Amino acid sequence: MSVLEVTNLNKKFRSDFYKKPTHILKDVSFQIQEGRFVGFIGPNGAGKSTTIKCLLEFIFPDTGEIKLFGAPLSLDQRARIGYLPERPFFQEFLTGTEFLKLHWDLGGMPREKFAAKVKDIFELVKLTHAKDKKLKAYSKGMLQRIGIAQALICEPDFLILDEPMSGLDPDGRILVKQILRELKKKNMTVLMSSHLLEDVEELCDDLLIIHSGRIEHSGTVNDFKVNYTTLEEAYTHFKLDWDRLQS
Amino acid sequence: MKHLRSIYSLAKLTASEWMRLKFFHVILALGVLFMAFSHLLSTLTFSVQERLLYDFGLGTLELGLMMIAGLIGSHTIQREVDRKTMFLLLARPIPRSHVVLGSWGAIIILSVLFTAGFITSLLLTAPGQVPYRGVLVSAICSLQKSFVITAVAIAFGIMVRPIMALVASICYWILCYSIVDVEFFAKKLQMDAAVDIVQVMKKLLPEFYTYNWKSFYYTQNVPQWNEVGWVSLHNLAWAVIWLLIGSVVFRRKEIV
Repeated sequence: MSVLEVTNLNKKFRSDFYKKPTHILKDVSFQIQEGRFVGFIGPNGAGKSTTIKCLLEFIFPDTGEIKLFGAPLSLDQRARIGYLPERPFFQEFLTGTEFLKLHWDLGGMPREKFAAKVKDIFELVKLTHAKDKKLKAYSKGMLQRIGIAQALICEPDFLILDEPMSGLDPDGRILVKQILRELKKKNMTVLMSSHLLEDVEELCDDLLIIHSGRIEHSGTVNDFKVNYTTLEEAYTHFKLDWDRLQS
Repeated sequence: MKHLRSIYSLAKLTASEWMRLKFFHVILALGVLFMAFSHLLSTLTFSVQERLLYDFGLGTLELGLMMIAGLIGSHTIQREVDRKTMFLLLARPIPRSHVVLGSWGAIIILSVLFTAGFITSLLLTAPGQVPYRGVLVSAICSLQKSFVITAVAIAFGIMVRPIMALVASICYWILCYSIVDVEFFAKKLQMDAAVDIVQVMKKLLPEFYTYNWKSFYYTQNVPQWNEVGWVSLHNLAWAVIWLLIGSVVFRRKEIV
């Protein structure tokens, strides 16, 4: 079953009203199947975050269609998504528990089930010891994990992670990767944008490559690197070919 | 119920955040300072001591409420957008209008707290017979005006940068009082176009000038309850109109 279907998404941005609009997304189309862990890679400015923002209706595509669980985007459909933004910013005066409670309430989840759920989530992200600490006292790695916790708290069917491991120290990365491995074991559908190819290679089943606003590859990771030993090697060759074609 | 819960959660979050900021503390400090000044001013006279105290005190209350409404209202949503905390909120299955209503609710909470504190200390320190009912009606009226200006500031804050929104909402507040003076001058000019423009502007503004009750006179000659009821409905309608405008604009606003 297809969790996400994106068809011919186009988006233009104008930096100033007198300037010519820049075409950021050009006929972006792809599908994500249920239970797949999908890596979304591409250079900076390629359109990864813009695509994700369209999926979450932070911005609106000029043309194209997005279907989630077979239906057009709506609040009911969005309730099934968990999202971790790139470099997430939090209300730092809240404690870990208060922060998750806020998102539980905004997700419209039943109040009586919060206590049990929050316990499980803190255990999953290994933050039980810090649940009553204010977020301003959290390290960057802890903040990233509480970010993942808020993405998971409302029991989503589809998780969107925008650079979940950017800016983390090795310990933080190990912990976040452990959490992602757990999610993979549970067969959760995940779209993970990342610059870290070894993480994508290790965690992801499928791969989406976006370059200059176009989807250049949509398939399995193994298909993409079939002639190479690592994803990084395959991507380097892909990039060289792409540059050659452009010039 | 689910809708109310998300609006309440957002209002609580925003109110507790602003309460922690120095910005709100400065407004509180200014309120205390002005009240102390109104007491000081009232001691300069023997005959109209109470008049000065209530005129100045109630005027200060409205000024403080407008500072809260204008400053916080114009910044509240854009601040969340700039700090990128808005992404996490909007990723939740809540309509964007809830964010607008939550912000409005938060400022209402702050304004009610400010009014309660201000009026309590004014009444506790006021000399002689205290006109409780008159002061209460005046305070409620100012509070309701701040509800309208809060909605205006939030709506402008969504459309333009906060500093522009602040200027626009303060101008709007001033125009709500002075549109009759503008109308007078337009008629004096004997220019039909100017008069027509003023007539249109009058339609776009709540009639604050008809219930300017923040003075000693109205603490002694308290408006009737039916007048208070009309004022409440009038203000509520204007607040709803501006909240609707804000919600419609925010619904299509791109959060980049």
